[in-house]
Amino acid sequence: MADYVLKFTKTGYSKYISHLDLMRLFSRSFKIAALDIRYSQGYNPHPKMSFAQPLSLGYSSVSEYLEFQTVTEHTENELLSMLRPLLPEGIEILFIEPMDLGKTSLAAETVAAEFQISFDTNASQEDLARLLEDYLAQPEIIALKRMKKTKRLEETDIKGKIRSISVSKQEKAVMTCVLDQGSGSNLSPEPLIQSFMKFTGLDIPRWEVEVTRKRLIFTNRIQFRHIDNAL
Amino acid sequence: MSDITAKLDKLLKRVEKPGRYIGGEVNSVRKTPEETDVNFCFCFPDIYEIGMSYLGLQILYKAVNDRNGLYCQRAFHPQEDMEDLMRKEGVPLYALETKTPLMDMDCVGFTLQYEMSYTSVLNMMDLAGIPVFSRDRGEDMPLMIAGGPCASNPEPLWEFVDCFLIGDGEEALPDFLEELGRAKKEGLSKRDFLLRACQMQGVYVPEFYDVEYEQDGTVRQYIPNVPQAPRTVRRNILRSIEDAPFPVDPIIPMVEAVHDRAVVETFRGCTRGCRFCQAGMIYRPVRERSVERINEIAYRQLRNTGHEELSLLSLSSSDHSRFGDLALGLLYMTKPMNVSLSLPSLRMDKFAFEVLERIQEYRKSSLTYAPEAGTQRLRDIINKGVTDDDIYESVREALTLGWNHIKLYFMDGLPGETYEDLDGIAEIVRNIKHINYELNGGKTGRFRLTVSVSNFVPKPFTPFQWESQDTPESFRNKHNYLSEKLRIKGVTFNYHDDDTSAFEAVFARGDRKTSRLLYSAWKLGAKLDGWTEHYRPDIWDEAFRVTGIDKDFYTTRKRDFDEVLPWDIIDCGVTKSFLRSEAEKAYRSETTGDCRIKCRGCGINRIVKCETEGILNG
Repeated sequence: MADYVLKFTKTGYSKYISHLDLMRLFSRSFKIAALDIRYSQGYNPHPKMSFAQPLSLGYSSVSEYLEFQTVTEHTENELLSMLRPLLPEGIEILFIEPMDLGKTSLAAETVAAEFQISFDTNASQEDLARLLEDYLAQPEIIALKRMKKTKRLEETDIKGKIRSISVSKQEKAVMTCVLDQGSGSNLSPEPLIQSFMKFTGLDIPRWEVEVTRKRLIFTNRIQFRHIDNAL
Repeated sequence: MSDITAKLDKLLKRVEKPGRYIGGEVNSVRKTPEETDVNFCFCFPDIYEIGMSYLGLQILYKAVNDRNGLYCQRAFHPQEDMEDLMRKEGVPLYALETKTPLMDMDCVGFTLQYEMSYTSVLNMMDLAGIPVFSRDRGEDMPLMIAGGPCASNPEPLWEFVDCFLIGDGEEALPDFLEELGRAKKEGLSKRDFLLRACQMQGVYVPEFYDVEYEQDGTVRQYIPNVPQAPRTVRRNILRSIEDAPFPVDPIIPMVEAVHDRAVVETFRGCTRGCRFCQAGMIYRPVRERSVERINEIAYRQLRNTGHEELSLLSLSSSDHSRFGDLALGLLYMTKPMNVSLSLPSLRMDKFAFEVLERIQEYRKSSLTYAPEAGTQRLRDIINKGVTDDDIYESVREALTLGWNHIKLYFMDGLPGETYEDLDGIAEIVRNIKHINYELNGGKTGRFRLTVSVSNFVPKPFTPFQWESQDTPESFRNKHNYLSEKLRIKGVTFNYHDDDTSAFEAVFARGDRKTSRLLYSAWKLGAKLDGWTEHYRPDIWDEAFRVTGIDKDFYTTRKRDFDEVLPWDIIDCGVTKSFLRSEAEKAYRSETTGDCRIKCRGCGINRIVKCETEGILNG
């Protein structure tokens, strides 16, 4: 029995593959590769695999993680050559490595993520920096957030879940932000984007805004052998 | 082209299931412009999940892409949210593989699987910025073609489609496209190319024929207006399907399709001769794939796709000459692969049960049985070679073997039907319930019986092609009557009460005049009519009103045997005199046996060898 972590990208059109379809895609790829993936016990056995953190539909990412278990051990090269040809355009395996997760999981050890939020605007670097400063200077940052239990949008203060934000302007405006992610405290970029646009009066429709997950941050219990430099 | 991709990205963020519109699926094909002489787009006039479940798409995709110089891409009808945005933002319909607008293709082809998709054909052309009328399209626009079972009466689409490919497509389509490639190199005009192409078998070019009508609106005659056009267009018939192109590595849909499973076609055609069934006539003769080849294809498909279900495709699974070996072999193969096997369209006779009995492990979920009519008299009229005893014996057998859900399929509005035949349906249902009671006593809790009744639509190239269709009112009355009769515990009754079967009937047997009805309905906003949520009866009523098309002329009118029919321009291989003699036998309640016992003279063996003729006769 062996545990592995697979790091992959989700870029280009593949960002429009839903979480559910992505799960089907990987489990099917394992099946086609005839990999001896472990199955859960029970009436409806499913492959032992899970993602560190689901990615919203329409977000790109260069830093997605999947953990899975196999019955026997495999070399990394063996796994790579099996799986690489089976994935669609935009889903590229960056590395696969063995990792003994014990009783924990990547999902349980995820604490934050770095997102890049980019959009076209006439505002200058200085304008944007000032707007961001004002936005962050609010005593509370109120945004509509979908509540886990009720599934309703409710006004809530997201300030405490924002770890850092910076902004730069090249061709596009790029906001780099680190947000809480994981089972403890979680903030999706959506309420941030919506409240930032509202606060600053930047009149940019949501579909003009591009979001990329650049990095997933784990507790220090998770250490990769590969240099995990997504950027 | 980059223009499209930038805009597309903004659209996809706003629609449901954007995965439908992105392409790039595993096993989809990429070719470079340098490798491509002819760019072809295969269009399915329905949404992605439906189109990707259609095996014919996968077969033709492979058949075309396997040829050097030909590139087959795909397009589907978008859902409403996507269509609205595409129109608003000016994104034309594009091929999924390379995001090339359909307008930039050399050729665009539609598959015609059901009449209710015709408005979607027009809508897809329009969404691509391609004028729907052939005569409005210039030399710089793609050649529009169509094929599929409904193309056996192409006339309702004659003004919109430049040319139809009739019959089996896996050789005809790539051959046609190669011919188009040669014409392109020679710099031929579309018309000059079509003049050449109409001499190929199965190619019907409507503009090369003038139609004269009688006073009463029926067809007097078709007159070819160019010397190259044949007097009738004979459908393409593949001699053998054994080595015909068949995908072992089908495209795996990005969004879960309606049927996400491995499929192998076991044979084409049918020997039973049911008189209402178009497929049973237009796919003659029966051409089988060998058990060995089916096994090989199934295995390779499963290995290449990771599918968890394997299904067989044919008009009647258990009619394969080695069905026993086939079913057992596939069961032994699929079991260790954790793949479930489904055997659809089983003819539940003794033989099938012998096989199923040997396959103890076969999953006994639900058993489908299609008596089609409620009494022996009517079953003889339609030549459904099933007796009451057959039905009850099969059901008894099935219940003994452990099935507990039985689905029954019937048609209403069949020629010669009376209310006694409807009573017959109810009687069959009661008798089956009784058999279950006999076998399982009071423990009938898990037993379920589903009865589905569909409205009969007379189809071209069947012995019933001359028959009258019931009116929507008559269908409604019959449904109400059956609803009362079938109010029985544990019995579910399904039927459709809308008027779609009348529109199906208009286009199924439509002449050239019906193209105006189609155009008008589409102009008024009809599309995706096969979907209850999109189908708008008010539009169709309005379309009949503005075009002055007399619905009854196409639906309820009984045709004369001597009438020239709009589809007489097509020769499907089965002779009109055979169809007529079958109709006359129907009036006398005479049956015609299976042609595996002896040849019944349908005429197909004038053209190709009929391998299954008389094989059951020693």
